[in-house]
Amino acid sequence: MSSVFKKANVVVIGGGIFGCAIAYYYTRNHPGKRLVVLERNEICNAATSRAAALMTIIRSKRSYIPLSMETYRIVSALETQLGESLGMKVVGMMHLAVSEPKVRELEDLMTIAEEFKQPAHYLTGTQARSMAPWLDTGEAMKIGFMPDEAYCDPYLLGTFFARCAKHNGAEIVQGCPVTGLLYANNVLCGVKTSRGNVEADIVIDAAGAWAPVWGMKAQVGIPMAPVRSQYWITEKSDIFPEDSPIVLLPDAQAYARPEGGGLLFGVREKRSLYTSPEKIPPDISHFVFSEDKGMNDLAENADKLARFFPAFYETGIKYYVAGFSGYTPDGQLVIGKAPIAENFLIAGGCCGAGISVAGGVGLAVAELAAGVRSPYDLSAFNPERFGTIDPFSVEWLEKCAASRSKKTSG
Amino acid sequence: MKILVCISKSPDTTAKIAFTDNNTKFATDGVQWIINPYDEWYALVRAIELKEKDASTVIHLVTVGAADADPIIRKALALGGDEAIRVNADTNDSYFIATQIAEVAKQGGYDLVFTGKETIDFNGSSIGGMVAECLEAPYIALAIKFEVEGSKATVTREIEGGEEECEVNLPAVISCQKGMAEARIPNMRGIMAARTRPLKVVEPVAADHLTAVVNFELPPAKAGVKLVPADNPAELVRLLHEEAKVI
Amino acid sequence: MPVLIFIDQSEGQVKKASIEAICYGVAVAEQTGDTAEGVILGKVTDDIAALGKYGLQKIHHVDNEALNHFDAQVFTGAIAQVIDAIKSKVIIFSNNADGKHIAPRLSVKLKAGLVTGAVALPDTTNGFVVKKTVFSGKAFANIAINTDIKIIALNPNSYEITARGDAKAEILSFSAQVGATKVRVTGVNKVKGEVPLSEADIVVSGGRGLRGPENWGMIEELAKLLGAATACSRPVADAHWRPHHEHVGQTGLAIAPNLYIAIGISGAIQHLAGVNRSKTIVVINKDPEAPFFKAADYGIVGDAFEIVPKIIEEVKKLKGVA
Repeated sequence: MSSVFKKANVVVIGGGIFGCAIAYYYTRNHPGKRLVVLERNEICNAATSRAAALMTIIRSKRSYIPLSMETYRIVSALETQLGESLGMKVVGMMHLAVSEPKVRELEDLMTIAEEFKQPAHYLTGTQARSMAPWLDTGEAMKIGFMPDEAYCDPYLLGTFFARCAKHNGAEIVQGCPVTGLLYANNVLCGVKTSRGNVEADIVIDAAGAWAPVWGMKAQVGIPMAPVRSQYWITEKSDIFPEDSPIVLLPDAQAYARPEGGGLLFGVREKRSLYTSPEKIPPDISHFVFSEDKGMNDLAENADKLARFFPAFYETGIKYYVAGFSGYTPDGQLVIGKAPIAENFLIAGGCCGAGISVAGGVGLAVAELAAGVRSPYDLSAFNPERFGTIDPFSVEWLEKCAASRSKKTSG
Repeated sequence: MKILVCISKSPDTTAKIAFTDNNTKFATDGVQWIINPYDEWYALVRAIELKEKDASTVIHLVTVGAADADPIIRKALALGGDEAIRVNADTNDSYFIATQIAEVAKQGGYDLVFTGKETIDFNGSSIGGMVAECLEAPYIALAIKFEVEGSKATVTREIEGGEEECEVNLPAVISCQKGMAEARIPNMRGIMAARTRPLKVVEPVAADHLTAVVNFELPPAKAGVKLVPADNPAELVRLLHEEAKVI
Repeated sequence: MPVLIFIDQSEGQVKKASIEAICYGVAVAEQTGDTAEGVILGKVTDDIAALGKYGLQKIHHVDNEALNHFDAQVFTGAIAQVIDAIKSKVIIFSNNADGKHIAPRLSVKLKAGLVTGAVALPDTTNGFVVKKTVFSGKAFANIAINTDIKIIALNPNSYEITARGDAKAEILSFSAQVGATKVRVTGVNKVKGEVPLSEADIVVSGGRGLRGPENWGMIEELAKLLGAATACSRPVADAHWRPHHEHVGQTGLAIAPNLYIAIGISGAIQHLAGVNRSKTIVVINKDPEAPFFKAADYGIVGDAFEIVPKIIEEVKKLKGVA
């Protein structure tokens, strides 16, 4: 028999930004209750720290907006609690549309901004260029600008959640891999770890790209797949001022933002690389996502980018960063409970927007774990919306990967 | 002017160092390969700068390696260089490698051969000198500055505690280090152009191996952190001085 | 068949690295049951006979005007003639600047296997195997030299200097045929510039724990005392507390100094990716759970603002700075 390592009301598998945010909201809203986060490596060091970390609020997917607004809102509370600044960069976000369909999408976004009472206005090409000197706006039919949009350092945001959660009484155990789920009389009652059992009323699967592995052990096919996200950072240049805005180029399926004097940018590859959750090594620090640092993918899209970024061909590409995000076929999160598995909650399927929605996801899942109604409508994120699926089958993985290749919003 | 730049493939500076096959081989699993930084940042970039001053300059790259070195030499071509030659041999004996490079250099009639000051994996710092001896050419190692005028070059090299400036007649072999050039980053135009630049593969000429790797060793594993009490920083300084011998 | 050691000199004075090479060569000779002899080129002002105290029996002095300035090709030719004359089978260099010029040339000239960067005496129990540093000090390789004549270039600071009495070495004048020099030395500058971060042996680095750019004075002071370069973590560069070129980590510079002192840096994996090949890591952080402590060799859990000034005082004592 394994010994008892910890007892708690809630145990969270995974110390990424979702796990840390859940820990923060649960301990803040339900003082006196105990929560343990188990992280096998170090917190926020896999997908979280590799994120481009746009904190986008205004997007076509309305279901995400209240969640992102919560993230944005909670930053100042975290900063106050810690007495430190997160250094969130509120530089605004520019949408450049050069085709009729993308103009219509932009007009829809402007309506959504109004609906959610977020500032937004149109810019002239000259105005846009003065804000982002690297950008060629010559072909722009319409340029929208949301001045309150921001980005941040994702690792820092994750650790802010974790540190505040610890202040509130959460236990975050690092270097402690979960080895199995714990059942008593066929009812889930915790997890097994390398250091003994953690007994808990509720188990939350926030294991990121690895989430479906734990789902399967609870007989739940979690409808998501690990798909490679990648971005590049250019060398430094005066054409990338650090206060220049985030730029979305839906016609090129690309996004860009300033980073350390250079430009961080991503562009959708024609075929997104995916893998089965079972096949990702436990520690991805030395995982080779792309032998050529994504250069083939980039070359394939070079003309698309150069159309908006004339200096693209002459600008040195300095860094390549890649990681796994959990993608779903409809681009919606996977949040909640699968009726088949009692006491098992899922927080996953970030679809590359995990940093942006972390606050809302943390709050919603914390409330579900406490048996309280979620403040948001989570129906779009229902884990059972695809029926019964095999998350390890090639057919399923390809379906999820295709949803990334089609994405236009960054 | 014709310049031959020697390019070596080395593991990324952050790669995990481990060995397999009874410690006889470097463990390449999960290793990202890069151009040896001294070859790339200093030797190759200085050659490119010389070409930018004098467009008639021709730059050829040479590497001695198996086919898995091709992506690295393509990356080097993305920075600059008109064509590349790969001598198809997989070895780490410096004499064998230098003999191959010298053969390429003789065939091509180069005015200059540039190497990095050393590779970051084998740390041999021998290839340049060996190639020079094979060619009976002068050799300046650890160069930090290089200018050329006609058939005469002015080179500044690092010596213990300072620098020495000298003049040398071409052809010459130069090993390059920090100071020679400003590191550059390949851009997309170079990356795409590199795909169509010629990469010739030639078979090695007969040569002996004078040395052989018996095995590798890792330094004893870190014992874990030794914590010094906050009220005794003197102890930390003592440990760094007497135990770690780093200050 | 004596072991021959190349004695490197600068302006007539024998370099410390050469004395290490002599002590090493004498120990090799003891191992193989041979005598140890030296070769020195050009004008000498030092009392080289005194090098006998390290166990050197003879020194072959090639005093030729053409050897007063360094030219690797000419030097190699002269040394090769001495080797041929005394039938030496093992030749020792220091792996310093001049050694790096000559040893590889000599290797080709004599078709003699060369190991550079040696850190220990050869193992002669089965063949002739020399241990050298590889992967920039992060590992060692044992290399077998399979030729009749063997050349070793000893890494500076890896073999201890020990005197063995007060014997004098016999100085033998050697007249070598010296070729025409192709290298003309036109100037020497003994001043070295500031250490660039990528090449620094010691790096002192600060993170968010230092709270603001106004607190970097102590980092700079400690760095200056140690002859170190300064660096920082990404959030610090992002906040413009320090210039971006000081940023070490995954998306900054990757460095591998002998000593990395991290002050107020938690040690996120992206930061570690840029520094984990440092030989010795010191971490000073007030959070005992900072991940950096796992990668550190030495650590202090506590307030950097109290600890660093005390360290500065201790280093001053060590360096004899008032």
